[in-house]
Amino acid sequence: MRPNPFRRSRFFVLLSSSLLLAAACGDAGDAPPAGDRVSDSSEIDVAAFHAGFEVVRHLELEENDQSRVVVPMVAMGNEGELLAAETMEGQVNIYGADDGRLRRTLGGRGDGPGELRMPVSARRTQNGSVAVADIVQARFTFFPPAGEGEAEMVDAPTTPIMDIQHLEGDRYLLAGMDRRNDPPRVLHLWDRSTGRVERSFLPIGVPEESRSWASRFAAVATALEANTIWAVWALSDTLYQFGQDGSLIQRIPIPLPRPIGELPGPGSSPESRDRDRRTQVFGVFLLADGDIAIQSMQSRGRDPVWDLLIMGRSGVVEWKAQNVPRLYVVDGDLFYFQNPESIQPNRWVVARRRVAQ
Amino acid sequence: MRLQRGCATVALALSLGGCFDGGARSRHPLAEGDLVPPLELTGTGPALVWAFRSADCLTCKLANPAWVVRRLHARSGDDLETVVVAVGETTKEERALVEGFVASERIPARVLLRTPRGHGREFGPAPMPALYAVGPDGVVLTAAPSPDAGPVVDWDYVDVNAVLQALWDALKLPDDPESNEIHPTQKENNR
Repeated sequence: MRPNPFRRSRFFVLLSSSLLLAAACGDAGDAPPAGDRVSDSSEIDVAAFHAGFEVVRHLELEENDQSRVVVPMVAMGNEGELLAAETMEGQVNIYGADDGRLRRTLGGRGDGPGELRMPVSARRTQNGSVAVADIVQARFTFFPPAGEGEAEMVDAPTTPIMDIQHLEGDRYLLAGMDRRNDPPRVLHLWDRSTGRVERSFLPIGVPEESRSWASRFAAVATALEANTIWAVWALSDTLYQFGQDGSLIQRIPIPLPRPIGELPGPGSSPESRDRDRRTQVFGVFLLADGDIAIQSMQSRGRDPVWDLLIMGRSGVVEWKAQNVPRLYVVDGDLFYFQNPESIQPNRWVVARRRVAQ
Repeated sequence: MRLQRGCATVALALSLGGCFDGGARSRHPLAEGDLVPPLELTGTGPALVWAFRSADCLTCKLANPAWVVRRLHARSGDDLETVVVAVGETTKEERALVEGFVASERIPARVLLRTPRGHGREFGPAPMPALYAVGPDGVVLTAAPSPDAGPVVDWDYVDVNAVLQALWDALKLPDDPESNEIHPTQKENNR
């Protein structure tokens, strides 16, 4: 099977400076990344991080000759596992969340059945399968539980596709900007059995004159809670809550540590069009105590900087800081961060919030 | 005597290469059996040379060759000298761009810059992106893609698993001793 060059080129235009390039968080220092490199930490505010979080333990994701951690997109799976869609490796790695041990790999580089090119999301479905969204192949691959049959591939109904989450039955929540709508919408309810998109929602809320420029920012993040969907899109400082039918429940303003700023329109200065220094909302995480964490970032070429905000559901800020380590995933009260002392993407720390007494 | 030998060499080069340009190749792409250009290789073991245009979209155009290089390093326990030849503008910014890309791909490599003309002198009309396995004696062991593939190669259509195996076989690197045992995940792999 040959890749679709049209889809591929569209994808890279859309993502040119946001998700993947930005998430490829290596340090472009003078030395090559050999061995146990240490971050220069020049952009990480270690003091602010430790003021807000207590490191519980270090976590090193296992690597071998078949799997390396390069640009992981991470989700919690079942039974204390971390699902890492390894974008540059064309596979999904499943690790133990407690010890970082590699339990299983899925996929492999290629375009054949069960192979992947650039997986950007991997999530457990309710029946124990792993659903993988591949942005280059523009398709989903459903890997059955170990030893239970063959992988099933399904073309994505919209491109680029960034995420897939199982809702119930045959219904899935898809994330990815569909520019066939005006304005483009970034979330979609999809029926796997019919292949139809039931509803597209969360239109990008930017002025028309900025829409063309803004629609290149494809990052969208969601979190499911009971029968609701929490969502953020790159250039909106608003947290959205929807019902599972796509109906809007509420909007909560996000007081980002580093504001997004005014979007450029026709005739705007080149500086205002600089995507590398434009704040993008990148992740939303539901915390055990009911608060919500929002991660935002600026891509800065290949040296992204990450900010974090924790707020209550009324929008009250509980904690925020600029230049924190990248937050990969949250499980209960445990935050899985990139180790601020290392730039190796497989070296993490697990931390808890320090709560004021 | 020296002059005569020099003239003889020039004459031979002219007759064989058809065009002599400062001792460089210009009509034949670098291929198996050729001596690799002067890239300051240490010569202590086999090496990998990776040539590409730095003006290309690095993340998208080089994803496949980067995967091959990363796998070779992973298999050899990073015990593989790798030199990147970035063809484009030989500026400080260009170097930073390419080094940043290579680092973000987790590939330990030394970056050299070449102008397109300089690359042409050293590699001939060779395809790009291209990977060369080089022996300790500086002789090219194999090239991927094939030197006659044309100047621009879309690696989306290259069988990267076959390329990986061909380079691995040519380099004859020792496996990473820590990876010798069959990993349990490979048994469960759904591929």
